[in-house]
Amino acid sequence: MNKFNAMFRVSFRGMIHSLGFQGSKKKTADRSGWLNFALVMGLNLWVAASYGMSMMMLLKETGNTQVFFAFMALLGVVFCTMFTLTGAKEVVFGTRDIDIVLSLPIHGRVVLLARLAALYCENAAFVLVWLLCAGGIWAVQGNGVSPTLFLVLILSGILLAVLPTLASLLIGVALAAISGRFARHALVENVLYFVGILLFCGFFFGLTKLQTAQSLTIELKGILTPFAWMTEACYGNWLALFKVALICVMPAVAVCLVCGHYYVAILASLTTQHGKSNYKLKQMKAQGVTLGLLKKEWCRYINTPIYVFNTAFGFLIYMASAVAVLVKREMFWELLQQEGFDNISPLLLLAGFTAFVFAMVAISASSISLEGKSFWVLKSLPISAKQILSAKVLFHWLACAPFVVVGGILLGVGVGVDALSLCVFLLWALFYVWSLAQIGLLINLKFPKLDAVNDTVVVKQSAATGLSILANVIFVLLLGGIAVFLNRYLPLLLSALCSVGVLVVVVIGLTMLLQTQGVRMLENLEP
Amino acid sequence: MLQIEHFSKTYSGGKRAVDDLSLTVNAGEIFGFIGHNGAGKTTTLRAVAGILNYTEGEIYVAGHNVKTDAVNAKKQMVFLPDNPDLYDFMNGIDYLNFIADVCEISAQERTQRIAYYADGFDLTGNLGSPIGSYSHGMKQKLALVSAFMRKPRLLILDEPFVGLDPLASHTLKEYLRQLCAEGGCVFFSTHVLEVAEKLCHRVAILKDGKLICQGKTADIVGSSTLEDVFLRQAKEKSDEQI
Repeated sequence: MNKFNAMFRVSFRGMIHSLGFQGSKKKTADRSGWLNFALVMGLNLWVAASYGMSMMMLLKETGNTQVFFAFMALLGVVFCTMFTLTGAKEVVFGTRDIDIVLSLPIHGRVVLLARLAALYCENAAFVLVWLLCAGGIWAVQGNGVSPTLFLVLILSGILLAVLPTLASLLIGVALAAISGRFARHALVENVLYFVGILLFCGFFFGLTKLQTAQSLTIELKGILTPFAWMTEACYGNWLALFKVALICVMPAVAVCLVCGHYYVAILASLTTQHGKSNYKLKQMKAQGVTLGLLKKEWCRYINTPIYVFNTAFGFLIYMASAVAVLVKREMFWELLQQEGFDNISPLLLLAGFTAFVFAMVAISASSISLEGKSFWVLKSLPISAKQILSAKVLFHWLACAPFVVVGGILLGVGVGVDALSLCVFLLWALFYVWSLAQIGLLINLKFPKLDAVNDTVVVKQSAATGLSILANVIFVLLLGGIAVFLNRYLPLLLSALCSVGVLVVVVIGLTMLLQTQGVRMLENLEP
Repeated sequence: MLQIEHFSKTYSGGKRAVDDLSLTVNAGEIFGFIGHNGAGKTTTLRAVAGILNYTEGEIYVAGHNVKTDAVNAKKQMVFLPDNPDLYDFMNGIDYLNFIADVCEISAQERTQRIAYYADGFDLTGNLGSPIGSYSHGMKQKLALVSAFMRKPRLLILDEPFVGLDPLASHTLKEYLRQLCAEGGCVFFSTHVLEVAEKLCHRVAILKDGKLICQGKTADIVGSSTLEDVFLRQAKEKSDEQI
């Protein structure tokens, strides 16, 4: 037990430390780790509250409020799984310190359990936010509330958080089993993550069908039974809570025991490298500084599955939506009418959707941190800080631009934007993406994390990524405000052109900021 | 080629890593930098390479100030740290190509140079593999190939012999001598005093951030060994402090 405690403390502190940004003192890094954790939970609360409120309205209309808690718990677990899934490989199956850990006289099973426990704590906080938020909404809506309800919600949260943790473990094992067999681990993982995104989208869109009482009842008697029991517990059935405990904990214990037995073998499989020794040197090609830097950024991007997964999600959503709107145009307009958006101009709708999707694509926000311990390479090369920063901004822009153009055109045609407005929109969108790249990079320069133990914490959990998305959302709201203001006094096309002008000014301002403050920050950054 | 004038570095925690260091490395010279762990060798090398900021003193490489004219200074030199963390996400050949692109080495020259140095370090066959699959020694060799490929006028190496097999160590010594014969110079730190004694034209001994001795290797060593000199100097300095 002492060994478990010691390993758990190390894993948990490592996880919190990894959330923070680089500070000169350990305390600074720890504090910023907790602050970032609070920020993530704050964002989680915001999502939970938004979903919860709209869900409650919907269920009230259809007279199904009795399944509200089941829905909120289900959504909490699904979102938590999405959040934690990407961390599974690095937090539970991280191999960077594994030589030291496994050389200690501790059984692999204890190491696995300690790492899972650390991940479980994060998941428990995540799911609890959803359930407590559900309790709050339930009370606000005047459905009656008691301390017992909150006790049940807390206990349910603690139990249900086992499910995403278990999912992380299983996904980690699957990744190890499959990608370990191939020389190109990263490519295989990218494909697996892509399949994972598709499955998640399928599952999530499937949830939207659960609006009728009949479909709900069917689903809650099937695969979602634990959530039905949890709802019963909320109405005072303690036996149902006991059933939730059994169904969550028993499989987890069994899986942990089996995986614990093979833990060292799984880690060995993940660290297996497939080197070749028959390379024949051929005549090489010279590409110049900018192309060289861009190629390096591309290699970094494509060979870091978590980087692709975290950012390509936005691309996928954008393209899928574009195709869906184009193919099912009538259904789309019906949906808009239902939601009361049919009075808004298609151009504004298009810009708003594009703005929100690309605000979540934070490539440049982790670009500096991902240099990590290799940062000395860039610092020692005969290139200026300006060239390094420009290449990073350009890469972000180049990664987004094809999706902006193709997706934007498809969406534009789908929502019925005329050719001239579409051209103005594309111009606006390309400048918008450029400014996002600059904002992300500036935030990463301000909150770098070159000492991260793995890429996942940089891409998924670092302060720079979280703050960058937050800043992007605030930026979108500001742009939206400006657009609405301009639209009030000017014709639509003219106001759109003015919005492009605003973005050009923003891009110029941010370029100047990057070339002065940004350059200074990069020069002062020490590997 | 390298001129360090009254260089000092104090870290944010208040630790003075290097105190008023002045030295010169001339073209055609191999200069050894010796000192115990934490003496300030790596700090000095990193400052010279332009990857560590400093406020006290000046450092010039081929007449270019490292602080104010960093890019031109870096064009003249190459730095390799003691444990070179390279881009694990690239193949060996992609990494060399990247360095060659950024340093604007022509296609023909890079092909010739990579063939020459990678063959020398017996690395050519592995260049198609991901750097992540390399051993420490292979990464060290790849970093050395990338360094020699740039034909620097000043080569700065931090503990370059750590992790290299005997054959690669021998090859490295040959290449270092070759670089100096072509008019370049080498400034490197090492704990392997026998290597420093045999290889270096001049050496400097650093203790607690202060230069305690520098000069031609033959003059410093005299009839004893560099190890004896190093231990004697270190002891004298400790006695003075007591």
